[in-house]
Amino acid sequence: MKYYDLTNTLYGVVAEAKIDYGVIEVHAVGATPALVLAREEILGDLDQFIKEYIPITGWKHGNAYAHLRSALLGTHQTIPVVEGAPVLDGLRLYFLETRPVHNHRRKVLFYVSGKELINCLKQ
Amino acid sequence: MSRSIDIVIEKLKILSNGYTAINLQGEVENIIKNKGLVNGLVKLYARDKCCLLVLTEYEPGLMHDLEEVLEKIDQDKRCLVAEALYGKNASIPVRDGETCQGVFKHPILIDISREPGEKEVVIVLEGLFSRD
Repeated sequence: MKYYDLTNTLYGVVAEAKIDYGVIEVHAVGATPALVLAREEILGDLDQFIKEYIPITGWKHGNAYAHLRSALLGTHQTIPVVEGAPVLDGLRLYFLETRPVHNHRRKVLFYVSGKELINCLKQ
Repeated sequence: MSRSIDIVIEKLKILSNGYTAINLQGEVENIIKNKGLVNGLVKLYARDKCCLLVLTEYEPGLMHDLEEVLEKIDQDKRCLVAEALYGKNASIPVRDGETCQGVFKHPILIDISREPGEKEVVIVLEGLFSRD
C-alpha cells in the first residue's frame, strides 16, 4: 500500500478559504482508497495490521481486499480549524492507495465551512 | 459576500429482516433532489444497535466478503466491535445537486442485529440549497 502525504495541501486549502474558525472535511473519491489521520511513525504498524486483517486473496469479489480496506479505514476525515489552521496535533493526513496501481489519477474533495474572526466576535 | 449554509434533517425508516445489507444511494439521491441541495454534504447516521453505515460498492460478492470479515470478530462482541471499527455514520459530498463520492461507492446500511423491524437512519443535509 502507498501513502501520499496531503498535509501541506490541507494547510493550503484552509489558508485559501480565509476562515479563522470552522471545519474542513476531506473526501477521497472512489471505493478503494482511504484517508488516514496518523503519525508518520505508525504507518508501518498500520500497514501490517491491515494486510493481516484483510489479506489480498481469498475473496469472492475481484478486488475485494481494496474495497474492504477502504471501508474499514474510511474515505473521509473531518478536521477542526482554529485560528486559521487545521488542528492536527502532530498527526498527518494521508491518502492511502490500497491497490498496486500506477499513473492512476485520483480525486480528493475538500469542503470548508467556518467564519472569519471578525464574524465570530460579532456573536 | 458568501452565502450562509442551511441545514435540513430527515429521518429515514427502513424495514430490515435483522441481518442484511441495504443500499441507501437511491434514498439519498431522492432526498437531495426533493430538498434542493446544490452544493454541500449529506451525513447519514444509523441510530439502531448493531447497525453500521459503510461506504463501498454494493455487489453481492463484496457483501459476502464483508460478512466474512465481520465474522472474524468474536461473536459475543461482534455488534459493538463492528460498530466501533466500521462506524455508524457516513458523509457524502454533493456538487451541482449530485453525489460525487465515486460511481461505485454507495452508502450501505449493514444490520447485524438479527432483530427484524424498522431501523432509523438520520440524514443531515448541509450546504447551499436551490431555494436560497
